[in-house]
Amino acid sequence: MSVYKIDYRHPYTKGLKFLRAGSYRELVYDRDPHTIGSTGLVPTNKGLAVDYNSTNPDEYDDLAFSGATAVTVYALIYFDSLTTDGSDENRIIQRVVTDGTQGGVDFVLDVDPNKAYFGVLGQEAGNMEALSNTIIATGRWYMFTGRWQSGELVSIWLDGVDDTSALTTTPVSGAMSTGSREIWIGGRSDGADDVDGRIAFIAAYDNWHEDHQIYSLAKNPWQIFAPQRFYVPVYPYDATVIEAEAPAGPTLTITLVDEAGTTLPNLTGLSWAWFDESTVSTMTAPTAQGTGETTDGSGVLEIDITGTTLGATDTGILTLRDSTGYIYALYRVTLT
Amino acid sequence: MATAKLLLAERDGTRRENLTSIKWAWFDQTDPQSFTAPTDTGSAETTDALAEIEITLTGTSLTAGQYGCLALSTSNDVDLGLYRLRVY
Repeated sequence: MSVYKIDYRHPYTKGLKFLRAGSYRELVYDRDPHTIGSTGLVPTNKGLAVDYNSTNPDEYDDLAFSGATAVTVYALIYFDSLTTDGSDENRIIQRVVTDGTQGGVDFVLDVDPNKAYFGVLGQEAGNMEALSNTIIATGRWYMFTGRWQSGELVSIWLDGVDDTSALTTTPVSGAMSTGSREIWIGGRSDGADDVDGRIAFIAAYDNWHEDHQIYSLAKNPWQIFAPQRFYVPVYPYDATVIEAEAPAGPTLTITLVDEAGTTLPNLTGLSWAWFDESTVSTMTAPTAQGTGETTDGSGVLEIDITGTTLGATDTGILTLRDSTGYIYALYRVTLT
Repeated sequence: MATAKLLLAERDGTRRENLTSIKWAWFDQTDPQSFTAPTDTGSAETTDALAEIEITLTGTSLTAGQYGCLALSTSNDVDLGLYRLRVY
């Protein structure tokens, strides 16, 4: 896994920095021309983001995408203004096919003309494009994510949620063009179509991130800057065995909490299965299951487990998934 | 045969490396309402020094790229959880 980041929150960084393999210890490239306050980088009163004022996009050497068969790109971005005439594209990040030219790109993330756009356009990979359903506004932050891998459709995500309106409906197999190419941030390689706004970070991975990983990074973007080896938690939420108690009987009444003990009120569309075993390694077929359940305002769930053979003092396992698909939980329930 | 891989970490980013005797069950479905009996189970998996766990699934009907669910617990049954995963 390789990763590029913009990050000048690191105390030893004065400008933009590219990291590889997700580790500060594995720093392989530090772009020297830019320091805070230099032309084209004006953080000043705009916090910790890099200000792109429609000029001076940044160009970096390509480190990871030669022949890559997957890409996931994140950008935390705030537009001060957008050009929406269809020809100026507010380009956030792109990998060019030919260094020093703007003619072709392997991948590009931009707003074109007024919706988020992610395209994988390298000749070896064929053309795949996705546009968001949402019209992008100025004056607010977004987490953009573009994702593709060989054999899959491209998709565009806003704030961790898939917002794709597919322009390409047939997956294309292939790879990024081979060789070291330039990566451009904040504009097109010819200086046109630049971003007028602020970019807090960009991370581009030469691999596929799962839906829940995109969601997780959007909700907790600090993970981009996790020290040591980069990782994305496999599941962002409630992937924890939680001990619980409930009265025995055909109706199981249980207050759902997360691993921190916080109740989970008003969950909807819960899909569940009840197992009569007390350890996961001995689980057999569920004895009761259902869908469409909800928790009330206090996080209480009531489900019918008539099929169980368990009684008071026995322990079973309740598995749950919510309607978003982002919450999975496993409760180990002792009947009282 | 397929492989399920994941990196175990807490929500705060703490990795769970070098765990032993992990108990697990694999379901070929991703929706608990559709769960049938697990296709594979075990009780002797480990996470490596990087907190990664890799489980070989011999009973699954899934092929690379398809999704299932992995239930995990520590040897004392009180930690880990339920994960939706794609097999390789």
